[in-house]
Amino acid sequence: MKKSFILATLLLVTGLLTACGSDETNLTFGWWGNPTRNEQTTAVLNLFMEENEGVFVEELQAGWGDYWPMLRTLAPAGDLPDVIQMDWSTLLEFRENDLLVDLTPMFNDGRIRTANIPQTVIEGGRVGGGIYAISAGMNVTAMVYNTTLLTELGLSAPRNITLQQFIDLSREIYALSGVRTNWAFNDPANQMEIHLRAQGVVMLESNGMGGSPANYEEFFEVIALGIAEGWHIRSEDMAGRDGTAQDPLVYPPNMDNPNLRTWNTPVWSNMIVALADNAPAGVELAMTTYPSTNPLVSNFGRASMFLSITTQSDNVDEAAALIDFWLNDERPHRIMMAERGVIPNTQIAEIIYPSLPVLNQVQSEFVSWMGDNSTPVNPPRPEGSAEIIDELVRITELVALEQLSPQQAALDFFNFGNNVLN
Amino acid sequence: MLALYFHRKGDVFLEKAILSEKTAVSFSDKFRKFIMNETTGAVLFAMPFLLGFLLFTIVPMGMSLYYSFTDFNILRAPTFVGLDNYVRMLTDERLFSSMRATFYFAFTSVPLRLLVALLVALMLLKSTKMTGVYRAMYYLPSILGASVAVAVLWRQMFFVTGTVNRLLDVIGLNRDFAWLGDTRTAIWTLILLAAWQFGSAMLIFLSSLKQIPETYYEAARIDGAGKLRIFFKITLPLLTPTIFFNLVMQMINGFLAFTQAFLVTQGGPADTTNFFSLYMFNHAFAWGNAGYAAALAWMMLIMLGTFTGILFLTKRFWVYEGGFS
Amino acid sequence: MGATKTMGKAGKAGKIGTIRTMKISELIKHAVILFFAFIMIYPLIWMLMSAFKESSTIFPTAAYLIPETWDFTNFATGWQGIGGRFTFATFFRNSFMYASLASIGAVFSSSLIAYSFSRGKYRGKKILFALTMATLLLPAQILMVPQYLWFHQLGWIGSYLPLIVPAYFGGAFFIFLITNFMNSIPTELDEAAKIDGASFYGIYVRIILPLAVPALITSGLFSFIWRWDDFMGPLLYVQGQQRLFPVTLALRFFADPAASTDWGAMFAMSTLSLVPAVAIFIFFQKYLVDGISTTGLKG
Repeated sequence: MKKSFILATLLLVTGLLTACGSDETNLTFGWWGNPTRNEQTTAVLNLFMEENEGVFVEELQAGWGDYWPMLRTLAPAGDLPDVIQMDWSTLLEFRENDLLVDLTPMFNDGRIRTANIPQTVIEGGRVGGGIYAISAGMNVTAMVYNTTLLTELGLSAPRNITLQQFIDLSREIYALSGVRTNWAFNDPANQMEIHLRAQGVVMLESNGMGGSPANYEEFFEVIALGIAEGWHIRSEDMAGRDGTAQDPLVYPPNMDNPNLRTWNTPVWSNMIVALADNAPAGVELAMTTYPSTNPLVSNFGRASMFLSITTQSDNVDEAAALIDFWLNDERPHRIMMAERGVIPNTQIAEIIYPSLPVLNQVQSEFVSWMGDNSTPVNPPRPEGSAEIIDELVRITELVALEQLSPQQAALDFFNFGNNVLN
Repeated sequence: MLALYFHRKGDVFLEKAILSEKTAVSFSDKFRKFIMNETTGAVLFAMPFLLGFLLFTIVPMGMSLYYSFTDFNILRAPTFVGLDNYVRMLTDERLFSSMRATFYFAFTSVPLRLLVALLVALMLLKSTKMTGVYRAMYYLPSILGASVAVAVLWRQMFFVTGTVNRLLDVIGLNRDFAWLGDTRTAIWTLILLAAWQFGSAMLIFLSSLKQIPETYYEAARIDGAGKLRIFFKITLPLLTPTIFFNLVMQMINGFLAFTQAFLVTQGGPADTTNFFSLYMFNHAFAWGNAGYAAALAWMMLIMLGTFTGILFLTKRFWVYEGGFS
Repeated sequence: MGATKTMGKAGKAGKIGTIRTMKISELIKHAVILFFAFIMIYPLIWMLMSAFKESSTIFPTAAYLIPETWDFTNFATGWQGIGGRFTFATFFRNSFMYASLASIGAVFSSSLIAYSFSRGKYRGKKILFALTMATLLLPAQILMVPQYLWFHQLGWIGSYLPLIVPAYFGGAFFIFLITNFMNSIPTELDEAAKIDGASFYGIYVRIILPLAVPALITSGLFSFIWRWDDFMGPLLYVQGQQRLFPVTLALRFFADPAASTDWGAMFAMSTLSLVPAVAIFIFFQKYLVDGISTTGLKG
């Protein structure tokens, strides 16, 4: 009996060990996502496997927050997936640690076809002399808002809305309905970036923080003003929410109390679809640009779905084939329905958009309009950005809690950033 | 070629074996005797612990000591930076707030949990037919409290439009208070979650209470002592060893709370729940400062060691060690 | 139930008035205990009930426990998983494998070490035992970063090896628990066996181990529950491969702040994830309680 017990244990162990090793896997694809996105991505990968017999695509996935620690811990072990979803904010760090492959040779020999991809999209993945990522979906900065509410109040939010217009509008909405505003609580770094771009400053430069502390002040001042006057939602009331589902713009239980409700939310353009999914019946959403002192300069677009091949891949050809499939076949896009942003392949976009739901078309129209109303994205963020951005979130909170003055906040943040980057 | 090699090697081995048959037997006899020796057996059986301790505690700690003197982002080879990481701690403002949160949590949640556990244990001491049911109900959260499911549940309960506020609605008290967002209350949702799991400590107290001989109480009653007096003069002193032991163990665990903060509050608002482990985790795995994280771990180890040492020093002032006889 | 017993006791006192007051005060006491017990498990009941509510009604009706209409679809949709190729069947199996393998290892090796500590006579035993107790005071989080870097050196990242292999070298809590238990087994038994010619190993296999089964079961159950709940370990080491996900990581996906959330499915799967621990609790409560009571340690 004892022997059979030991045998059973051994079997279990070997079973688990062989489950860890893998003999049929040819390719691994890593991305961040949520259940909906996972489902769509799996469908695309299954389609790719049908097309390419003998290739099996293994999946690696985590939520946004866990994704980057995951890649950072896989990289030193040499276990990075062959193809990974990259982000503009981490591209530089991964390139500088020699983890990404230059895609230019593959563009040249046609392993990844780029004939229908605009040159500006391709350039978005450039770091120094090479292209290290290619975008399979495009996003622009967008402020999504509740048009139903604004129409009821007889108000409107114009495109290229200026900071002053935005503050006035927010005050008016608050006075008329008690509904509040969300200026920077989703992703303070993004809003800060916009704010600095309007002044011709890049926040995170490779050798330190751009500009001077004075450039950073106004961002915090707007928060302090909004909190003091009451039109800005309190940071307390945003805590513990589950992303888009519980955004105070749409989360139904918040709708009964104007204090917990906002008329807008600053996000990326593709998120309007998910927000609308969560909105109560009768609430229509639309989008405009982020408020800024100089919208035409500060507006920008960037890849929402950067795809990169890692230097740890043993199957570069298959990896290239997967990226090519994603870029140049219309079926992935029929499955993803532009959930990951606007389709960069102009030919496919033309075929597909008419058949997509109306919000996807709104998104597509907005992104192409932004093409003429924006300037190129900042260079990729340097190593250490993650820590700086986390600090920005904390400092923003402190200002919103009225525990830190805007001037001090600007100074603290500026110094903190410089310390990390130097 | 290869077959030949093996063949020959085998032959040689065989020859040798035949030649030394006698000596071999006596050697294996000796070996057998050595192995069957009781002391050998006992040492052998203790080996797994010693090996594991070396492999999974000493070696990694040694490595981390080295890393704590380096700039290391896990992605690149470490570069030696001397005491930089330790110097950085002196001016790390977020480390201070993290320490404050950690101490606050440990020094409230653990005593609270022990206090509740003791009170409930006293309440359940007199056994009736229902005691088993009550004990089970109070103990259940201890079994389930550490799960991800409960952490997720907790966040939804204390969300500004979550369960707690809806319940307050029913009794007309609701002001849509942001439990998770207010810097005063966020940490208390975690303290409550920790205190909620008082069941194990309650069981420990129950069993200690039952070991106190009835004769002690009888003697006290004959002397005319009241219930409170009996509690403070007899019950509590006799419980102090149990209290001490649990205080030490749970304080240490309290200092290193991670999962619940990671899932419920994510360190916010404004770092009021950014517990030490969470901060260390972020430095190591999210911000690419594994060297600094290693230094933080060492600092915490030294602090915990000192703290435990001090607790042990206070022991003789308040812990009764006379036993029951 | 409690009341009848009280009546019996009060009856001895003989006075009718005392019977009534005793009874009422006892009743109040029971009511208070029961009330607090209900508050204690209210969150769990709330989660269970929410699993049967239609997703969009969970928070609007959060103040009411009983669903207006009983909806069982949450379990079916939740079971489908978190997108991707695997369902909760895979995640439960992984959790089960991980918890079982680690627990078997921990109990087996801890019993060896405990036997050595309890019956062995050799120099340095006391120091070794003290060392074991010291590791009890050394919590996992301190070793999180160092151990990670070490397992990375060994090339074990992306598998369960860093979580399972160390278990086979014993666990301080279990060693303590089992040693205590073995110390309470009378040495006359091994002496008798020794006279019959049993070796150190023979005594372990034939006498001590069978007698120590209750302590082994207690250790195994605790180990299983802790491993089942383990979140940080898999988060660090299992790394994104759904086919290796334990239930805890899958639930994390539901709870990821960047994800839109199907509350009903989330609570349904959360509830299911608690079933093994609750089952152990119901069927083996005695072992858990004994384990905690005899060691005086919180599990």
